[in-house]
Amino acid sequence: MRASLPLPTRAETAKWVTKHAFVAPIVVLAVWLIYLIGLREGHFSVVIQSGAGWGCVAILAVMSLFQKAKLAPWRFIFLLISLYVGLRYMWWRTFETLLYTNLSDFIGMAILYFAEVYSIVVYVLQLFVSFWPLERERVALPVDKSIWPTVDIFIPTYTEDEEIVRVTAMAATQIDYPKEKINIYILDDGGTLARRNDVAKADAAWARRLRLKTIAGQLGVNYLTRETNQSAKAGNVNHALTKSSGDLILFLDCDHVPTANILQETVGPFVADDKLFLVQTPHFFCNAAPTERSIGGDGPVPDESEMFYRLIHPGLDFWNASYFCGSAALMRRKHLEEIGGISGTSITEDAETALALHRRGYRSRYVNKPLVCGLAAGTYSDYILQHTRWAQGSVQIMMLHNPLLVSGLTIAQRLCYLNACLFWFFGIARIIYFISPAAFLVFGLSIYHAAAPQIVAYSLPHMVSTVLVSGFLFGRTRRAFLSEIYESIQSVFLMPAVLSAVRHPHKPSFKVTPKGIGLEHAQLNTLSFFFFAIFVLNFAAVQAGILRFWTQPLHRDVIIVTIIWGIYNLFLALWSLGALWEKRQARAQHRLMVVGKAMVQFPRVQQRVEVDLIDLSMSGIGFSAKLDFEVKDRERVFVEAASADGLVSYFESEIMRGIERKDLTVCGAKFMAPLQTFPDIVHYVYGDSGRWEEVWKARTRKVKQTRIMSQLMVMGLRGAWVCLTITLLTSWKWISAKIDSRVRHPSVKT
Amino acid sequence: MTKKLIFSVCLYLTALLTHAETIKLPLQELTALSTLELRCVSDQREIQVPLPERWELKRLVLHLRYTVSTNLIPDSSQLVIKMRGEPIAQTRLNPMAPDVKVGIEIPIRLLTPGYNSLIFQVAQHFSKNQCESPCAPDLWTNISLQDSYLDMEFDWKPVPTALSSLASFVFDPRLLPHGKVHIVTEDVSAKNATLSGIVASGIARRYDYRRVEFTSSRVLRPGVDNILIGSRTFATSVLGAGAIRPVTGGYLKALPMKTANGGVDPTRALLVVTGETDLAIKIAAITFANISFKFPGSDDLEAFSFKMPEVEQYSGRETIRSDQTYSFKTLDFPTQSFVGLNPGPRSINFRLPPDFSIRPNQYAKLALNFSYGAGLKAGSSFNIGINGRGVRAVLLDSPSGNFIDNYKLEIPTYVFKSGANTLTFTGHLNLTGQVCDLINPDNLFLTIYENSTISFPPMPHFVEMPKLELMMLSGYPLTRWPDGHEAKVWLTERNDKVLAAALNLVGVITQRNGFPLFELEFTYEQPTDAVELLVVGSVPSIPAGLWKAAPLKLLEDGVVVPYPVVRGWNAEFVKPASSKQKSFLGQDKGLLMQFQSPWHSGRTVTLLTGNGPDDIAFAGTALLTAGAQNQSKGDLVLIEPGTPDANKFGEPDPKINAMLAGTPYATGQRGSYSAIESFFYTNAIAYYVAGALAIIVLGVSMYFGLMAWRKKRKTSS
Repeated sequence: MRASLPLPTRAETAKWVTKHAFVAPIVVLAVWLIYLIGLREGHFSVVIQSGAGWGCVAILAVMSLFQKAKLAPWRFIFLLISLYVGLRYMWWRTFETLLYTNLSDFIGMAILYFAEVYSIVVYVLQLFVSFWPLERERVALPVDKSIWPTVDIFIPTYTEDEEIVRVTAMAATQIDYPKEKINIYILDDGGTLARRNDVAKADAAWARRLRLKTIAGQLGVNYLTRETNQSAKAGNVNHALTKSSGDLILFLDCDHVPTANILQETVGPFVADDKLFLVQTPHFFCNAAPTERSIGGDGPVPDESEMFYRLIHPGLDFWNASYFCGSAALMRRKHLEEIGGISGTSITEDAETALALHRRGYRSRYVNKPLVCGLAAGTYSDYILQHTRWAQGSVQIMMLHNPLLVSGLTIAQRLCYLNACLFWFFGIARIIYFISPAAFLVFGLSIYHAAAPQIVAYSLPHMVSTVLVSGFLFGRTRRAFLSEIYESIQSVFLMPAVLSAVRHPHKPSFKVTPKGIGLEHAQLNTLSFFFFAIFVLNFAAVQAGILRFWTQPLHRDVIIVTIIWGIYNLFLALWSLGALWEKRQARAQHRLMVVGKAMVQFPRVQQRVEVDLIDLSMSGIGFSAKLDFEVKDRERVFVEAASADGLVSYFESEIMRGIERKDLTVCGAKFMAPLQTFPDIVHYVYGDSGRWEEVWKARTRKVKQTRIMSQLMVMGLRGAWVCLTITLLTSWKWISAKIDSRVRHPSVKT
Repeated sequence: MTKKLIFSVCLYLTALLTHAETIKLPLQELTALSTLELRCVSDQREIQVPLPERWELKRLVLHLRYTVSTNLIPDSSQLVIKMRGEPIAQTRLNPMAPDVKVGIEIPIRLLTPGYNSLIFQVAQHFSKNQCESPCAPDLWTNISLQDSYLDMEFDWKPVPTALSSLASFVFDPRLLPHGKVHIVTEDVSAKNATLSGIVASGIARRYDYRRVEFTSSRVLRPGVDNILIGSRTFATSVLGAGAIRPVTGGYLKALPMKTANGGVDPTRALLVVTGETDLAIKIAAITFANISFKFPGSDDLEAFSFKMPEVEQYSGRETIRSDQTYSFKTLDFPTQSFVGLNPGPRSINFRLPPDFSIRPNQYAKLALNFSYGAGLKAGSSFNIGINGRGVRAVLLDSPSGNFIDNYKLEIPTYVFKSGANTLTFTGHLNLTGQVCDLINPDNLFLTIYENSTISFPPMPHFVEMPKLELMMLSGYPLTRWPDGHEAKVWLTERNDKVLAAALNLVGVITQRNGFPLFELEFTYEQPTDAVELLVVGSVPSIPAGLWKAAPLKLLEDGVVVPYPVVRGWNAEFVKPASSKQKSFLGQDKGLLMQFQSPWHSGRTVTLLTGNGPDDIAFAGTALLTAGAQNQSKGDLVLIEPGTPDANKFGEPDPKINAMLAGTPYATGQRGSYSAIESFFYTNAIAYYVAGALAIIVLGVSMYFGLMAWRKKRKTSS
């Protein structure tokens, strides 16, 4: 018996047409614009072509000066102009510059072209994703608490420090939600039966299990472990699903300490919308990642992930494509169980799970407010490990559940997921851009057939427009050149990982990013060798370019452009080397720059003073105040701190240092932290989401270009110093070896 | 003296008695130059003198006018004139009489049918001692080619009746001053006009660059070569019974021409192109047009089929394609040596497709194989020039000489131009040593080998029209397909003179393109398919639809004439003013116009018109002259009669007024462009304004379109 789908009725068809009628003029106009670009401008004079390119850039530059341009519909016009500039460049590149000269040139040309096609595709996808980020209003919980859903809080952990887990679990117990409707679970994969039976790991696993069970007992939360470590984090969570029954599940990485209001902010939408499967919130980090530490010096620098959480995710939310990021998110159990729990095919189980639920027509939502505070990777190696997992997982999703091909997604969702997957190929493109100048200037391969006037008319406007667009879309969260530096640093490591995942999509395995690991000394990461090689290659390219400038007068225009490209690569290599010089980070508890007031009692002088908070951590507090007495070292004080919910806590503290700065006294105080005040400290430090919002804002405060440039210069000089050191050391080793060999094998003369 | 006088009188009388014809051939007609400058201590230049096979040369006298430098020393300076390498005269270069006219009788035994090299060689000195700069500026002799000419006296030889004589004897490019061919058809139907076109095209191609004038009528025309085209019945009616034997296929026959009184004129040919069916006649016509090899020896042949090689776009005369590498040998540049102090330039002439859109990021590649002698001064080099401008130089810097293989050079394509190009090599070979050293320039040589190559990168085909100069250059766009495929001739009236004018234009196009137009179709009906059109007819017969699209509109309700008001730069198009008036073209004038087809965007109409058939015939003949062709530019050419010119065989050179007045449009390889494409390609501002509007409207549309979606997303939960 053959089943057949019922044909839509006339009424249904009419309804569909009416519903989608608005798309028709947009499609027609888009096709018309593409048609115009397709006509090409090659037959106009180069002056006209240049005028068109730079005219667009001028419009973009002027628009980006006005805040209003960031609002629709001006925003759309801005993005469409930049899209036009990008597409006209690519059209020109495809139809005017791809010339066959010989096989080796062709291979080089094809590789570079591939990189550019990739870049432009990702660029267009990013424009699409960021088209109209959604700013949502808070959905409050109903007054009737009886209809509030029950929530299970999952804190999966593997080998992280148990004290980190304690803080997170403690904060979870302080979440503002009816206690009878919350169940907290520490999901320990470090103390599984398999690990306890493994001779090499048994001691640590048993000890860990004991400590975590103790912590769970002290905090009154549940401790869960399982027999094996199958399917890593996904398996751990799925096991917990079988042992729990809450309507909603709050996922918290063990280092993601929640604020007290996290459920107040995120549960409301679930009550309002039955088809909502996910509310994702940003991952907010209290410590700087290695790159930020290298770049930022003392000032605040937006975290690398902030661009994603602050701007891209609201864009994804607009297209109903906000996806699960593994933590700081609430999901509905019912929907999760429909797909058999968290997916475990890829090592980015979070995005894969969201993809599966989006395919079923369920909705997601993003709350653009920091409601957890986590720890970023502490060292470059951990940072690369973490990004490699994301890259490989994304590639796995593309290879195994290609968003363009799977059923159930809307076109917009397909493009959003495609963007998330394709993005991680940037390492390949970046490496190609690194070696391209040398391919021409050193090896003589003609891989970019363009004359200087054409570069002025097409290439440069496109490059400048991408910078303007980046500033327009992400200016608050991403400073000039930082994207390039981030990409450069990761490129050499991600490229093999991504290619490996393409070749063997089932092979990558889940590796936990170590958290809370600091650095005792500043050090040059061993990964810097690659950038030294890139520096040497581009240095050689620039030298060869100078030589070619004199010997090949016919190609001077292209040579100049390529030399500039090579110099830019040199800077990137130096910056990367500078960034790879990892700064010391010995502090066990990360300090956060905060703004606020507190009262401090000084029993010695019997004064109670209102102070301005400077920084805050689990171990202490920094403040400044106008004091009419001198502060003594190790002086005992009492800090009276009010949380956002009005709870006032008293922390007995000890002044570690007091410095007179102008008419202010700047003090650093250490909490004496008896066990009894620990919950209050956690509550005070982590419980207030408003504080994280302030910190988040501070990170995006406008910084003078001169300061950014000086930071980059410092990084470059640091990189140059690294280069010089490596060169001198290598040379010295070589000379020493030569001298040694002469001593051991003296030549015999007659 | 008496002897000379008697000899001259006898010669004159002999000439009179033998009724020999004479022709004055200016040397300027034989080369593109107006003067020949001979420089340095020794130099030579040569001119090729044509001698057609049909002529029996009786006498040849060279009238030479030259000017010498007043610093020359007559004792050691001389001019030697050689014919085919044999000295025929030598004169002292006397500075006391710097402007010289001299008559030199050239022994006719030295000349053979074909091209004969006339060499001018000088030895010049300005110092009696040995201390003389070999290429001092004082060392020059200038031969005026405008004032120098050849007096030729000849008889016509009987035409061989073998059909193989068509290949070189009858339609001979060396025939002076030009060829004349009369075509006889049964009527001026489209079918016969098409056949005439094929035959005319074939004949014009054989005449190469030599001008050939076609006429057409129902009857034979004595005194010129005649081609009779038509059915066997028609041929029999003209030639009489028994002249044509019964055949089944196409049939060609060569006969001696008849005189006006019915006698036989053996010096002119009568060629019959006939057959039993229309197809057979067409096969005969194509066969006739293609006999380029001395076969057959018989006076007739039966043709059953003719298979052409595959025809590709842009494969016309001397045209270089972008996907091939050409050896210099292929480009008619055999291995050549530059010898001596002043060896002069050597050139390769070739064409690029006229609609090549030359880009700034592409390079032509030269791979040179060359050798040079030892002992050259350090600064010796050879220059490479494109279209008269030096673009690259190669230093000959090895004191012991060298043989260099595969020396690669890149030349930006923007130094070339679409259409005719010249690649020139000029050797600058200098001796080492001081001025007073014994000069022996025999070691100075540079040889460029014929296996050197040139290649061009792929270039897109795009050209902004109208450009009559392209038609005069290579017949473009009628010859986009070299055989005239996708092109038609539309005769708007049935008249022999109109047909003759069309045939003359077809002849010009064929010669420029170098490929017979077998696929070119003649019609009297308005073609409906998208083709390139050549329209010929008098003013009243041209449809109003065409006039409306033309730059000069001779409409019944008023004439719209463009008048240039502002004189802009050469490369700048300044739109002329337009005047609507009641006026007429006038007598003895022809109009040649080019514009976009009103029916098919991107297709071109080339219109030749005049008040009546006589004016059209005049214009058609006028366009055969090199002067008219060179001056025909833009989209509007007015042709008027000129005054006779002694240097043009006494024939008048027409007056040409050309301008660009109409609306530009775009065309290229595929020929047909949509109206939108054509409009945008020729209006940059409109293109960008359309883009800007599209962006703005799209942005606003998306805003309103996405508003609902945004609202829905905001309120969904």
